[in-house]
Amino acid sequence: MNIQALRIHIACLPALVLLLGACASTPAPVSPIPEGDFRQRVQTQEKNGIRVSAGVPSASESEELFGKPLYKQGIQPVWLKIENDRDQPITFLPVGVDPAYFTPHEVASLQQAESTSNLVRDFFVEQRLILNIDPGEEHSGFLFTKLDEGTKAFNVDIAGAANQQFDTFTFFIQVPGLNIDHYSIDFKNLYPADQWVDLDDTAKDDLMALIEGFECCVTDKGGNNYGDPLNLVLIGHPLDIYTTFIRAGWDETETITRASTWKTVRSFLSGGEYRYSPISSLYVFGRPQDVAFQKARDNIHERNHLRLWMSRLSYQGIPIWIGQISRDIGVRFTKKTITTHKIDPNVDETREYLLEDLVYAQTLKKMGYVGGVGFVPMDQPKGNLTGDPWFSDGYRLVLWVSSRPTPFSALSPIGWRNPHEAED
Amino acid sequence: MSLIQFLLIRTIAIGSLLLLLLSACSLTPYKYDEAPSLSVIDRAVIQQQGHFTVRASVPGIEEAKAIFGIPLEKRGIQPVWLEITNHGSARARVAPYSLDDEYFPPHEVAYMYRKQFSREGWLDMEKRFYEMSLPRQIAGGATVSGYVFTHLQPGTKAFNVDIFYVSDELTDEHFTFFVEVPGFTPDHAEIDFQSLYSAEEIRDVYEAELRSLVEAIPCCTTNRAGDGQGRPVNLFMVASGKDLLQALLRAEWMETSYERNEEYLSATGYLYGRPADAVFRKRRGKSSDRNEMSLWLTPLLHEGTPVWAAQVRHAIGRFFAIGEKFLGVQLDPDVNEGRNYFLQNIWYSQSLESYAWSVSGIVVPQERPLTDFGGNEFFSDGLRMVLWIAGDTISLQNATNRRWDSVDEVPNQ
Repeated sequence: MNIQALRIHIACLPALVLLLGACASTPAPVSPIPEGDFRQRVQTQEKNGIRVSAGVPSASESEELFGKPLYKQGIQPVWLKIENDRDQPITFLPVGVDPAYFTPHEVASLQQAESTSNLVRDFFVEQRLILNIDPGEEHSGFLFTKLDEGTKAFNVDIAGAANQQFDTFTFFIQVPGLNIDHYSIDFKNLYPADQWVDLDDTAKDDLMALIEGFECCVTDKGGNNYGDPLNLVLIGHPLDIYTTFIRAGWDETETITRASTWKTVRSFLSGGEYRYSPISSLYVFGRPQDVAFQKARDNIHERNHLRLWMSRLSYQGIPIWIGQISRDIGVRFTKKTITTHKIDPNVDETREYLLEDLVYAQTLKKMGYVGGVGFVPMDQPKGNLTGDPWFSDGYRLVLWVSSRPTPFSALSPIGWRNPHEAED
Repeated sequence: MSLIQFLLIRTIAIGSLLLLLLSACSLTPYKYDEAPSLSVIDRAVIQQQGHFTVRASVPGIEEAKAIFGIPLEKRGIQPVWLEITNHGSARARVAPYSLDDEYFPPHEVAYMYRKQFSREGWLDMEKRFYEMSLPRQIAGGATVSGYVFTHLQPGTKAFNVDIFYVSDELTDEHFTFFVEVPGFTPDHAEIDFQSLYSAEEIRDVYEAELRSLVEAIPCCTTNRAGDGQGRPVNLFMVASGKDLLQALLRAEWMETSYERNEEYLSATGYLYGRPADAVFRKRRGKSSDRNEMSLWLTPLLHEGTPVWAAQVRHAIGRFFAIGEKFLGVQLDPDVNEGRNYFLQNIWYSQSLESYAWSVSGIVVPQERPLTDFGGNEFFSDGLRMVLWIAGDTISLQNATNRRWDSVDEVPNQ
């Protein structure tokens, strides 16, 4: 999508009604609603005389509904009901849900075993949504979208007939079927209550000293060897963190199970896409990452991934996380692990990519830098735990994330350290 | 010689050959053209806005090969050269992400091509790409230049450049470039649009008359002889040629460079007795799933602005592609889908000023589809759509419906 289009599009995102209710108070773990009947997971939002309900069937629920393994074909049906209580017709724009949605005939043409015409009639066209919804009417049906497992995040855009009548309803719907890493973490009780250290701007120097005092890098399980640099600091409740990365198009990560291992191997061999592939454990605070997100590009060998650990520090009552981001640029053989992903040695480049990614997704309130990694020149790189070289200016990017869309003009620098101090 | 001996000798022979080839690769140094890429810089397009001057240029395939010493296009990579001058006093930052949200960092590009070179060659190449890449930071009063490695786009390269700086608040200067790339001539560049119609044929009209004249435009294309049923022409656009081209590029449609040979002319649809003046393509999800659009300039003008007729074909099934030829396509029989998709596509790329529905197309019920001269079935709700294209980007909240015909009673809209 055109960047400006994206920016203005996101600028009109509404409050995340359901999720915000939860995040307004204490950090709440995000947990899935079990599989069975997708209608139990339907969410409804209402404003300006329009009510939109949305639900997403899981892989097995879709197969039961349509009699076809749509997920295996990369297709995910989204059920929508749109009710128009206005006195003017409204137009539903499916491109808002998915710019590359599948048409019903396209879905039918992928089902090769049976006569296409029957399939079209029986399964897909009958279920379709229509664009124009008259006053007082409601329409419901399925839109066929590109598959997103874990959490399905999408907008439902409705245009009125006149200028400035354009409403966006944003949904984050969890789809059962994956074993997502952060589902099993009880963030609220990660540390005993008396171990939290909360600081505000009056203690800025103390806070910076504490953050810069974290280890430079991740370690192995024994804590004996250093690996990739800890080049990220995030400030946000667990739900802010989750919403931020989902909105920016990052995928959640599965825990290691027999099924996820098999999916990883299959995608490794075929070079195909397994967007939720488990990520190896790296250690900070003596434990593996609390949560990992990844953004696949063309295939499993080319993706960005980041790991986060919640620290016991908080800033104005909001938890501070330490993290590590790197970009896989290919695959290579190693003595220890047979194969591993080769990372871009310029880890600052990947860090700055993330900043831009989150600015365009309008998820940041404040940003800045702190030290703590230590300068590593390009011609004297350090190695990570699988022997990949990396170099860095030594700074950690500090990102204060938000559940609400925040226009970038409201993004303010946090004024901690200036990586360009010597030049300015 | 026993079978085992034969297999052993063959394995050793193949192994030695492979070793030889591998060692040849591992000895190859990295080379590139030392001469500065003057022609690329000389033809740079310049824009100035706020505190910034931006020059942009895109090397053709051969130029890129000389500059970087490797065939970047084979991995779908297209370098874009930028030079940015910060006339202000505050430090600024350019976002490579604004050109392509999946841009390739320099070390990644070098890693992709490492196998052709010795280890030293690979490191030399890494250094070259790193040094040639565009720095993000631009100090007050400074000028920086370098390349951003983007995904390859055939034809005119359309991209944004966003530069951020902190004044009282975070501020963004937003540039949009449309840059011609050597080595590609789009089909529309070969049409002399000025001489398509005589002065007597051209009608410049107000909206009410436009509405009735659009209704009178033939429902469908035909084959070359004019005796075969083509698919519906259900889209019209009111725009200058330049605005239309920029709107299509913003909506990620790609130019094509068809050779109008006998084979093409006999397979394509005709309107006004001629094949399309331009054909654009757009990928939609999977590779076999793409849209193709034919465009014709009509003899109509709406208050001085040209009116274009268009047909969108949405390929849903298997096809054979030989080079740019697009053969054996299975088209979506629902022609309404292509039209509805295009409306939204232009809307979301912020080029839609207003639109109107016209109940003047061909009605073909889904139960009794027609077959076009290419052998593909189609059905149609009879609706046609007219889009007024904005000259510059326009917020998607500002698009209006001109309320010509009501679509309420039309099935499958």
